[in-house]
Amino acid sequence: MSSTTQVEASVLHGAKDLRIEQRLLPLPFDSEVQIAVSATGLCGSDLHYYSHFRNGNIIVREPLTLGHESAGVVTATGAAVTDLQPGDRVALEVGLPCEACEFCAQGRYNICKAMSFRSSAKSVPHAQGTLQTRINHPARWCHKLPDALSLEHGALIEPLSVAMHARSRAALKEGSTVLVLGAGAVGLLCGAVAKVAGAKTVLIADILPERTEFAVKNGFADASFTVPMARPKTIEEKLEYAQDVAEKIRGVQVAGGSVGEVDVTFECTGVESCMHTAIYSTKPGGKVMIIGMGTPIQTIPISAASLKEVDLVGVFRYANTYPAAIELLAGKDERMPDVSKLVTQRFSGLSNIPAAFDMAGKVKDEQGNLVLKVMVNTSSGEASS
Amino acid sequence: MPPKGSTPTQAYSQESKGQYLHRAKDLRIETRSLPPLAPDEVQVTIRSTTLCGSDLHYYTHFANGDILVREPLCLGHESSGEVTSLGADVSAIHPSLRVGDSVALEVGVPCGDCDKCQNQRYNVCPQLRFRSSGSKFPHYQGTLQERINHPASWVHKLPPALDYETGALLEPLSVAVHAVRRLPEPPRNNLGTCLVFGAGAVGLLCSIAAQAAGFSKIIMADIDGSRLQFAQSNGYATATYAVKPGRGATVEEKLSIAKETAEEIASAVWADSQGVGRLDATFECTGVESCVQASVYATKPGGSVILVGLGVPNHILPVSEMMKSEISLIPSWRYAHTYPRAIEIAAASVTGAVIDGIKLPDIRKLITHHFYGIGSVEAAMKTAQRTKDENDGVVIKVVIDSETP
Repeated sequence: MSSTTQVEASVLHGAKDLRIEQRLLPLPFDSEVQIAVSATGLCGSDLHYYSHFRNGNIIVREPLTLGHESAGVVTATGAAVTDLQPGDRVALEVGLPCEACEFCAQGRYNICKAMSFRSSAKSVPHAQGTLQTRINHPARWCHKLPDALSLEHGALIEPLSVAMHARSRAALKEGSTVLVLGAGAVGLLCGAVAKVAGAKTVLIADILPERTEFAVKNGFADASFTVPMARPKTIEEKLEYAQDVAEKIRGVQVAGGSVGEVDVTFECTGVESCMHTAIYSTKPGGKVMIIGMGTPIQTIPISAASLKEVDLVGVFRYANTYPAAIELLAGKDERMPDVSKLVTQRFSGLSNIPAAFDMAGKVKDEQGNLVLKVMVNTSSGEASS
Repeated sequence: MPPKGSTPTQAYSQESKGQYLHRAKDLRIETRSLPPLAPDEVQVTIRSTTLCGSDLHYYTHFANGDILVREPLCLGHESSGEVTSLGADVSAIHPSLRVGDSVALEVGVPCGDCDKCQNQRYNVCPQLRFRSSGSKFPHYQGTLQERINHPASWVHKLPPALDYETGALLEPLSVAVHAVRRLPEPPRNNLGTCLVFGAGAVGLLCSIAAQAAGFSKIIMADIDGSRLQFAQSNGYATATYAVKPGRGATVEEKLSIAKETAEEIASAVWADSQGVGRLDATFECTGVESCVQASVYATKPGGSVILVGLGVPNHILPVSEMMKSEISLIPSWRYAHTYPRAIEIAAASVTGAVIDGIKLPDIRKLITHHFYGIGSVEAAMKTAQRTKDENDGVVIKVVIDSETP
């Protein structure tokens, strides 16, 4: 066997400038495995990098392979790897923390300062993403998939992890009422994991009724609310609008009663007005989970949160979630909806990644179907799935 | 200061003379009749009342933020006094209470039935009535008067170690105890570091409550150098940082200044030469936007900023920074179930006893100015509004005692 393998990678050189390039991949190190990447879901951050060659104030400094929501098949193992063997299907946890700092020691490796996260331009050199045919990855960050789960399921473990981590930061109690703002993939998954945790009511809100209807129809939420569009200008107008939306949300009828103020709001949009609505919708002593990445600087009605002791809780990625996420997907909890319904469009091969990104930037495809999660399949003929 | 137990037991009185605010800065002494003592109430002769920022706001504006005063209002809510009469059912409600007992008043009376009350969070009970606040109508009158009838379950006996003045401080100390309890986790191994923005009474009390909870290194920040000096020389701050007063016009400038402030705090050094770095927690006690912004940047990833100070209703915040660093903004509003702990802390502070392995600074140092009698309320308010008195002395807490010592 040769010491390097020729692999193909999708590489971003500028905004919307993706090129397929050859790379030489060495054999895996002792504690690494080599994986044929099979399925990769596209995320909002990938889309930002693709469209703008930056994500917020993180600028891409060198050619970057995107993709971080992936699963694949082990093709080779390093000498010290005992838990995995070639042919094993794995979900990839692509963030590599230092494992030595105080955050890692506390089990909060998601906020490790030295975190190297594939597909992010934050650290230099950039850790290349998973939209390539093969990668080497530390075995300890590859999680074996049970037979019950497909590789596409495996690729959904990453966004499911975001939802599970948000739920655990919320300390969601059984019988809680939950509001989810934003019925995209993350919001839908937050609704799902809230249901599994025994939330009494999950109300999901979005500006697009088709998305919230999808949520209720497919078991991601109990009730839906369409947020009325408006363009308030001054801060007073904005807060009035948000209070109005919150009042309407409180009045939504579920199971013969009004929703009222909720225990926890999962804010999955990053939109400022949703942060306002979140505060006004959450009951005294409740929490607003800040998950959505969007407007970086926002004007917040802090006194409204203060008088009610509503916490604003930052949530970033996940830590120690993969095993539980795999168990949840593989399990038979009837409260858990079928997450494969989230995969709404599929593209095959690296050459179709630009088309995949174009699709991911849309809200609906040409047939009028919702775009929730676009999946890129890169498995070669030899890989078994 | 009025000695405890030396005043002869008084019979129940049906009248109370107090200071009532009729308009901004228009205080008038009135004698009002009190209703008959309810079976679950005690009558308390007020002995000491310390003044709070909200009392001063009402005095100056006849309003507190959005809350308007709608009828003459007696201010004052940080008080202690002597029990002079017990309602018929009090022996069942508060069995240890006796006439002559010295008590601290917990002036926020919740409904007791709602889910907030049932879940240990009565401070956010929507029906809570708070003495001296204009939020409910008719107003629940405050304690700047001779005596009040108060529910027996909302008075707390003072141990012998605490005099009336310290008893009055239990209320703002409760605010601090509650603020510290709002942290998701206590500091590990009594080795926590925290930043306190604002070295006034609230910040200093947060420092003492934080020390009692295991924060061993506290850096206090303020624009006023004398307050910082007071804090450091009295054992409230391990290090201090002088905040440069407000600059910055655009949002970008403001956030850039906030980041700079946070960086300067991080590059400060403790007495043992260890770098301060980012803090495990920040207690924001000013309500000033630039301080709230700096708090986010100054706090360690995964840490919490406890919002104790109330300021303008809306703040411009670096939300993405909060998200990426998993920082929580946790508001702290008044207090619930804090008096027993506040009593413990105050007693240890006053006696110098070690509590949970920690020696606390003396809380009595916070009372910097003394006034006597209902007639002195106006002068007391005027002093409390200043940061320095005529002799350049720092003004932290002003107390009004019922009797001259």
